[in-house]
Amino acid sequence: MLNRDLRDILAGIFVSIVGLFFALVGTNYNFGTASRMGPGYMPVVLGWILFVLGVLIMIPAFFRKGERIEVHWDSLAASLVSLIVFAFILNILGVFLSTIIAVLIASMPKRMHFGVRGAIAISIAVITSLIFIAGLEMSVSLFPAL
Amino acid sequence: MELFDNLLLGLQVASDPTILWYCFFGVFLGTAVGVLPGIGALAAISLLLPMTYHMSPTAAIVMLAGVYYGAQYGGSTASILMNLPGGPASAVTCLDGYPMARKGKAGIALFITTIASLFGAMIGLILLVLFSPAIAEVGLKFGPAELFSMMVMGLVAASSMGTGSPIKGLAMVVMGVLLGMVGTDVNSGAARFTMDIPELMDGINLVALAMGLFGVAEVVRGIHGQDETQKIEKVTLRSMVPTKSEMNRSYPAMLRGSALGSALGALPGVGPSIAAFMAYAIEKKVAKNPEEFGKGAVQGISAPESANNAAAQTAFVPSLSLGIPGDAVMAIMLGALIIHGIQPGPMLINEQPEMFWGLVVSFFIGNIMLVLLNIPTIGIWVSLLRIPFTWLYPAILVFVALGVYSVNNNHFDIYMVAVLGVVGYLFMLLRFEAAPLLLGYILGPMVEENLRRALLLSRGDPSIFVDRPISATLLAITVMMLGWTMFKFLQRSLRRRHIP
Repeated sequence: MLNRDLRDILAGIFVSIVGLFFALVGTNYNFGTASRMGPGYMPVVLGWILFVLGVLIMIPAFFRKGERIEVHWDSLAASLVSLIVFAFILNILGVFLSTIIAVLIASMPKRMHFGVRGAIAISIAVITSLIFIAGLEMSVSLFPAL
Repeated sequence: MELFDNLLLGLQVASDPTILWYCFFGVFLGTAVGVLPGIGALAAISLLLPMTYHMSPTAAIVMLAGVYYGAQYGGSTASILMNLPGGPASAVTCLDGYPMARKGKAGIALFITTIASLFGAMIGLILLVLFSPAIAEVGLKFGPAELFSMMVMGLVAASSMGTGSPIKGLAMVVMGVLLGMVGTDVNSGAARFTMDIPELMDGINLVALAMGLFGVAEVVRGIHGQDETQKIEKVTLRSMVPTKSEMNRSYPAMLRGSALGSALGALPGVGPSIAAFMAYAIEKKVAKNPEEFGKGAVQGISAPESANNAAAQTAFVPSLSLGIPGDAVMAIMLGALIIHGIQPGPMLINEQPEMFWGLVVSFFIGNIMLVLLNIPTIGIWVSLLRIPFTWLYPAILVFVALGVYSVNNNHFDIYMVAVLGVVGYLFMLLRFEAAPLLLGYILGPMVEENLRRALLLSRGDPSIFVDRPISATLLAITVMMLGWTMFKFLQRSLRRRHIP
């Protein structure tokens, strides 16, 4: 247990920052009048509304107890790196090898036997190739062009 | 008779082999994701979205809808066999379904939920057929002021009727509307919030947004979720035959569940999940044997399963007749239509009769397919539950990446998905529901457009919204809902303790 509801304090700060971003960047666009709204009208108005909502979420959270926030950093990092690496190597290595590498990265948070990991990677690569290349006729190369 | 002609037209469209195939594919996949805990209909529909670019709009919506109502059928399987809901709408089925399985009645429970699902879906479907054209007729008379008020009501309802904190839901809706403004403004041509990234000129890609918030974020959360493979008993066809008294107790429960589910499903913001919970609560109140609830009462599974399937059908009423999506799944489906250049709204039924009636008839066909899929082949679905999530989630990530890439053949979209996945996970950690955000994102541009038009007509006088009776009524309801939100917020704030 925490003395403050950290979750809603962070939630409120996050919402307020997003609101402030839209409200302030929105002033770069023409505001216009109510009868002839410019592109800046809605973003600025809604941005400030969002800012106020964030404050409303945050204030009461200071006065109540909260629970710890459990973050699975390893899951987040593995999924993220897997996607980014996949995007990076897709056109260089082709779908098959890229899938194997992406699956190996994504499965890192889980402890398992090396052979099992390889088997999962290869089977997913085969299924992916069948669905996207053979089934949906996607225009990406299956293997690296030599 | 007009209705008969329309249904005949729908039958012609729906019996086309391509449409039949996509209908089957949709309900098949829907059952699969419904059965599997951890993957919901939303994630599955987001994953299929890129495919719809290469399909006719009718085929696309038939398939996506199939996933949605198919998932309602499959959801009860894991609830009954593992005490783990396959989706949020079948969480309540655990309460009595799992005790039934413990007593060796898993087969009967699965049979009854399938029949209850069919029953609820058919009642919802009949109401959809009867009411949608009439509601669309009314909607055709709406001007920009009414459309604006109705959309705002839909957005506020979606945010405050959910299960979480209403004020956080409201924040999500507003954030969604703001995200919908990223890109080129249709009226002035100004590029808003693009930060000089050319890919953002067309706005944030719907596919990337849906996949990031629902696909990637669900994966990140699920990796360390429950993964112990439970012992699941075998279900044979013979074990599925219920006794006469079990069926007799189920029929009235199904009827009540369907009626409640149909009514709730058509309201914005109230989806199958809430319908199922309320149906269970009512059933427990009216039952002659309330002490049996929680220990394996058949009414405890038949009522909520009818309710969530009825709600899944009537949820299409506001989406198709007025263009107002009631939940995130509906929003994605309307988004798929917009991608094909079809503007959802009251004129949809008149302008695209083949699509509307074809879709409706495909619901009938799809529901029959689902019963055939769920009863004789139940063994296949049960064995699906034995696949650990460890084997599935890397595949989901690869499918997400390739799927979003296939839309524009652009790497930027994969990076975008990764970023939005982090945002989606952040939402989960901070207990924000992402569904209202998606709703705001889809409706946002339409809200802005109608607000501008209405105020242009009235020369900037905002009284146009209260002078017109329909608009005034809708806004009054909205204000009441907002008042309720504030009341709940104050009540919650005054308590010192955190309520999870």
